[in-house]
Amino acid sequence: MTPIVEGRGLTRTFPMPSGPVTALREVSFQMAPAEYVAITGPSGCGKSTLLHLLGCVDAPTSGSLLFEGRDVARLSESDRSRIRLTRVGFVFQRFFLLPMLDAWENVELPQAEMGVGLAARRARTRELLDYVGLADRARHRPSQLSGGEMQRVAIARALANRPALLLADEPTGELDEDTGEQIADLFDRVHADGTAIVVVTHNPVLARRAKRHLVMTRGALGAHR
Amino acid sequence: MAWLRRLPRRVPGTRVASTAPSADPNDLFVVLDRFHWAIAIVTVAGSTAFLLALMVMRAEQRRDIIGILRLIGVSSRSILFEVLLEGLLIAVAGALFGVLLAVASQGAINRFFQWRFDTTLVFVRVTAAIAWKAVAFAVPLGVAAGLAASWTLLRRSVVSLVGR
Amino acid sequence: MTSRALAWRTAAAEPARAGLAIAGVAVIGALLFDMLMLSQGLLVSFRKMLDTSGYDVRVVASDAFPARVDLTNASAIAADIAGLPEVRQVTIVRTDRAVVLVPGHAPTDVALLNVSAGAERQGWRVVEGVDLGALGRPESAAPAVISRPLSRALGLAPGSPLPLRALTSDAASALPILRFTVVGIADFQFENDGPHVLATTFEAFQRARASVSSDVADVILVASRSSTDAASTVAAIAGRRKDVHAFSNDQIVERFNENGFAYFRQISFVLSTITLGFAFLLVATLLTVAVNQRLGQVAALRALGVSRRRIASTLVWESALLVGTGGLLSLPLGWILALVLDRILRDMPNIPDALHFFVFEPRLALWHLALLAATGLAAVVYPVWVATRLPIAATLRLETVS
Repeated sequence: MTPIVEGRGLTRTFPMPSGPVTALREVSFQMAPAEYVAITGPSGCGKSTLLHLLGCVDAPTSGSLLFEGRDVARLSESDRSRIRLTRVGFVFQRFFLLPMLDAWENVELPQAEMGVGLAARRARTRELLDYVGLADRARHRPSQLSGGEMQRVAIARALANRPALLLADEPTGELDEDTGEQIADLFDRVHADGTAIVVVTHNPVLARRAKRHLVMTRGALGAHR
Repeated sequence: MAWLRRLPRRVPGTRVASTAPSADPNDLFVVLDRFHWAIAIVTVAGSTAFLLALMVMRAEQRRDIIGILRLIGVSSRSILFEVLLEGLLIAVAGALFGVLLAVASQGAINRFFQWRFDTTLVFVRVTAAIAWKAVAFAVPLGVAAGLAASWTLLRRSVVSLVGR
Repeated sequence: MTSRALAWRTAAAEPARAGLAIAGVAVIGALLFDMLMLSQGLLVSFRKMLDTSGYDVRVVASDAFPARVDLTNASAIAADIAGLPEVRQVTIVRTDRAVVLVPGHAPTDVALLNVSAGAERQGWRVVEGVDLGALGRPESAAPAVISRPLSRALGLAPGSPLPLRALTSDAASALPILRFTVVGIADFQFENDGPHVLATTFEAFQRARASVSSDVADVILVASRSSTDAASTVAAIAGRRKDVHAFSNDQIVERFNENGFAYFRQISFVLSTITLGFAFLLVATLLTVAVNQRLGQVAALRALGVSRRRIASTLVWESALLVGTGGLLSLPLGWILALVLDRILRDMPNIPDALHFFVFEPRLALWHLALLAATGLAAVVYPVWVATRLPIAATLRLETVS
């Protein structure tokens, strides 16, 4: 079975005024379809950097990255954008919902970008908001939602185009413990429905839910002991 | 100069006219001056609207910071004073830059029109009085715009400032 | 959701910002519209004034027109020109300065006017009383048709006596006072805010000037036949009379355009350019600041797969909404402002009542909107570049930690 994503010798170096900073050092990573992986590690160790590479948001300084068998380095930016739209879903720590759109419209946005017809968009958006338990808050704007509700909308948005891979960067970082549990439960459901998940987190509860737990230390990836 | 006034009677066909600025409100240059002032007022009105828009955006951008300051006990008056000071610095810098730009461009404008009309007349002259007038107008305008934009934020409750 | 809808929602979410930006564009746009009107307004208005007089050629003594030089032997020249096959009508126009001495009022400067018999209708329109050529006027006194402002200023009506003394220079004149009688009150075509106008017959005009033989004119007006054009008439006159200079209305307009009107053309060009530059700078600044405030959102959208094209088109629509709405509002605002500015400029001395500096033409409105549209597009280039070129990962990182 072709891995969803496969990285070999991934290195990412950032030029800084004080000198280059290597966030990832020769990281090799492979993920099967419908796998659930958690990556933990101290702040600044390169977890988010790895996530950005896996999601084709960023490009490695060296190494190779294959997404569903395609060499990402050979793809144009519009091709990578297409992958992000159709095959990858992103969930951010700070939600990044559009404040002038309500929950319904935020979830609808990626579908509209993909050209999904109105009827199909409506059906899918209704389904997703039901899925995350926010059908009754569909017409509320982000400013009218709690942190947990906003994150659930963000998850619904990430799932809008039925991605093969869901990438979550500290999804419970700004939430309390109970709300974080709710998000963890939601991720379990998503995974059970066949979506691969990579979650970067400091939350041990969330990390324990994953089937594979990796630890990042100073840019190097290893198994959790 | 009484003899000048008698001159046309003594020498029929002559005319005597003063070179002093005319008091006649319908004098050509007086009318043009009014015209230029009208244009200037319209330009200032338009730019004030934009200035306010930018100041409103800037104030909104700092809503969180203002909320945090208020939360930790900094008074509205202190924040307003900081806004005033900041606005004053920006307005003075902007006004001075505007004057410098006008001084720099007056040469080009004069050279162009002197070439166009084959004349040595000067068309634009930025005098000290004009520069001071411009600064005296721009600075209070800039400060007032900044204060007006921040005022609405400072009147809001602390909770609404730091809340989402 | 379309880019246009997204742009609309973004603008609606910040009504104060959008409203102020639209107001700014409207005001600056109004100024731009007025400068476009000013660029050709005087020419259009002047041409219309010349064309509606009914004459398409003017004959003067000197090539230094519009400087005034006496045209001597005017009657003979007019008769000669009238004989040309291209010519339909010829009118001699004479003017002089005089002072009216109505008891109970200060001496009032007037422009004494005479035109050839039969051509009065084109020089003025009688609104009260009768015209110079009407039957029944008394022969004993010199008849006068006066302007409405003069009748109001001196309380004159048809039948009123009108003592008048012609002036030879600025000094007081020793010429005898002539007794005119007001036979009619009229609106004069070339009336301005200078001396009031008073028209009379040729005989009375000559008596007023106390000249034995005073066949001198300011200008001879010529109307071409419908089968010929002004240029042909000018050529025919030039061929027949070497002692005069003929100018078509187009040539007169061109001459004024090069000299007298040049200042307004230049200032309208300069102000139009500055206004466009101003609008560009302000819209670009506004949109750039707006984009910088939303970098996190933009990066998140890009991470979700929203294309650069979509981001760019949303920004273009935002610019279009601001500049488009402001631009449409600037048209009525500009029209009102033009009335004000026209009123200011018409305070200049010797501007005919029928002459305007700001003249509306439909094509100018189209030009105005097109220029604003181009400015709006140019202004959005940099913000689009910022939004579409931002490093997604770095921006997300920065937004998360800031």
